[in-house]
Amino acid sequence: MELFLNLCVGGLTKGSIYALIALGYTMVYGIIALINFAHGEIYMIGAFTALIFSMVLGALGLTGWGLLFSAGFFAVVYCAMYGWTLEKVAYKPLRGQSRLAPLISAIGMSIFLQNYVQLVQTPNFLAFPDLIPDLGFLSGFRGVASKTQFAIVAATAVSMVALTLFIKKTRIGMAMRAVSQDPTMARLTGVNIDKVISTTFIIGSMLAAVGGLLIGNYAHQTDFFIGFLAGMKAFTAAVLGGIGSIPGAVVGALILGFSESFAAGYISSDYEDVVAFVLLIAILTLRPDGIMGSATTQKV
Amino acid sequence: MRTTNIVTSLALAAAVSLCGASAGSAQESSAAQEPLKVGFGGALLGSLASYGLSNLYGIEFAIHKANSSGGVLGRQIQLVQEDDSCDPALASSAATKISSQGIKLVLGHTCSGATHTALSVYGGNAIVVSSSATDINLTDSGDNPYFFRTTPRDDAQSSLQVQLIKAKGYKKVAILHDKGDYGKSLAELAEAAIKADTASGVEVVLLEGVTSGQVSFDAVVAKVKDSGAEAVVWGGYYNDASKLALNLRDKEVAAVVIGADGLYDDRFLSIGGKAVEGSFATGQSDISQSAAAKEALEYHRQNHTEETGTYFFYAAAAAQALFAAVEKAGTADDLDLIKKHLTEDTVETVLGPVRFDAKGDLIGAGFKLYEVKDGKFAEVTL
Repeated sequence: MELFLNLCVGGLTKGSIYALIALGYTMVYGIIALINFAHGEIYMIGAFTALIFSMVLGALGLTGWGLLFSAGFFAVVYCAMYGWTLEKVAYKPLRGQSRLAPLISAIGMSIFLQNYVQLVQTPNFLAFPDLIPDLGFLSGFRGVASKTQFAIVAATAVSMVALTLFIKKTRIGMAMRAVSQDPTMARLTGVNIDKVISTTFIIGSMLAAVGGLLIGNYAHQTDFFIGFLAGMKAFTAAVLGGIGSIPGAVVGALILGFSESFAAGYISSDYEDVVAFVLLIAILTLRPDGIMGSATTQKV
Repeated sequence: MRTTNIVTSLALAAAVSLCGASAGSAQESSAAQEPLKVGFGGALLGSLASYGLSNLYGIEFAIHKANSSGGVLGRQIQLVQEDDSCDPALASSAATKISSQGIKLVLGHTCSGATHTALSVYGGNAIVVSSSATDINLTDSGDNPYFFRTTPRDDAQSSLQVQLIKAKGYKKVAILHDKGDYGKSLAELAEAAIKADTASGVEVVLLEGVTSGQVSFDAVVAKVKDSGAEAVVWGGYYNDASKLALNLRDKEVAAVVIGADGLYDDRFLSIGGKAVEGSFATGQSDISQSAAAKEALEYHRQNHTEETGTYFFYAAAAAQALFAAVEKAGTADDLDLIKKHLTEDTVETVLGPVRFDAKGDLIGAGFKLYEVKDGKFAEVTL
């Protein structure tokens, strides 16, 4: 029973991190039908900027929640700028070209950003400070759920709610939904497509930065390569849930997190990836558009 | 269009081969003055770049020392570097690039897996001296007659780990690894060493590979907790090991982490912080106080701001032993003669006097056991 509980908590934590990154993939795909392979790198840059800003702000005397939130704020703003620039530099000039061109450009940006961080920062692993203050009310759950795990799940939940409200309630959110459904029609009705696409990249990058900050805290380390594996897993989650669908990405990420955790727990860690990907194949065979994907027209 | 392309490329190919021919004949006529090219294959990029760079720094020192005293066979040594990122696929092309230049003396490669692939490319055409590939099969298999190494082998570490487990009285042990060549072979060696020692009553309760660089190791930590293991033997590197230790402490699992030289790294301490306190690692003995070592460190400090890393002295010793053997053989081409000198003559290096056995392993190199105490590695005597 204790094993089961621990595996549940582990799966939920993993799934939450995947969800934060998967949202970026799925939102971009929903708007411009592009798989933004450089998204995992934005997450990695989020971890690095959170680390750098927490060092600087810590040296300036900030502590506790103030330090966590201000470092998080700067990481989010910084990554938002990266996401915005990425779109302008690598994808906008290729809009309207063959679908493969921006895809290759995305892979190129991913390699570029990895190597850029490796050269400008360090090829080594860096220690990441524990920024999350102790949470007193968790003392009853010692050994089951740690404060960082709680923070990851809570931050993910808050981000999801905020994102849903943003998309459902704001004008730009409405414009995003419109562009996702029919870009041509949206433009005809006066929606500024450029602005919508930029906003999508900015929001996706902000969520990835939150993920980067949280995972840095959890693993107490970061390096230039962390975006690759996390990005792959999140992309898988987005496909599993139905790429383009926002609730789908969250559901897919949680399924992936739980299945990995239980596969490792009850079968063997040797097979956790195998089980996760067998599940992906099975679901895509039965539902080619993913769990919550819409089986409407193909966006080619 | 197509035919013109073919014609152009043929013409180009002819021109290139002509250039090659003329350059080749020029080289032969002035062979004595030409620099002696020595290859270096290893991880200069990628997540294990710090290991490759550590090797490279050591080699740079040895080359500087050789060149400043007149070179080898009267020729200056020129290092040809190729990155393999510790990836077997890249190692194959790195080795091809090195051997296609006619280089017969190679230092490297960095990681065991990459070294396996690279050796199959060099075949019997190059002497390869690694200073960080520790997999036992590299020498034990007998497939690589011209392979030598200055690092001690993996099984030297496993037997130390088992001695520690017995001395501490641990009965239940979990063995985890990162599925890489280095980590997996360490894990298998530890398992074999524990199972061979039936009298000790030590039991392996869990043996699993986890994906390196995972977001978290929570699932496997839950299993360790469930299995009641008192110690976790980790086959792999410090980054995953410190994450594992953190996850264990997060879940209040008391199991002690026992690792090998992949953990004997200052970054294990800085990343792991309090969580790695009380962990054990086997590692190379500290020789940095000897005069030869101090000279090497001084040279490094003048030229680089980075730290020397784990393999600095092994790499310097590998290069020094190789250069000495070539010098004594009087040729850089007769591989059997160079091998004879590597295995028969004792050479003074930064590691002290060294010589290789017939299989290619270093005679006289050893491991020590360290415990993390107050954020430092403290030597433990059993």
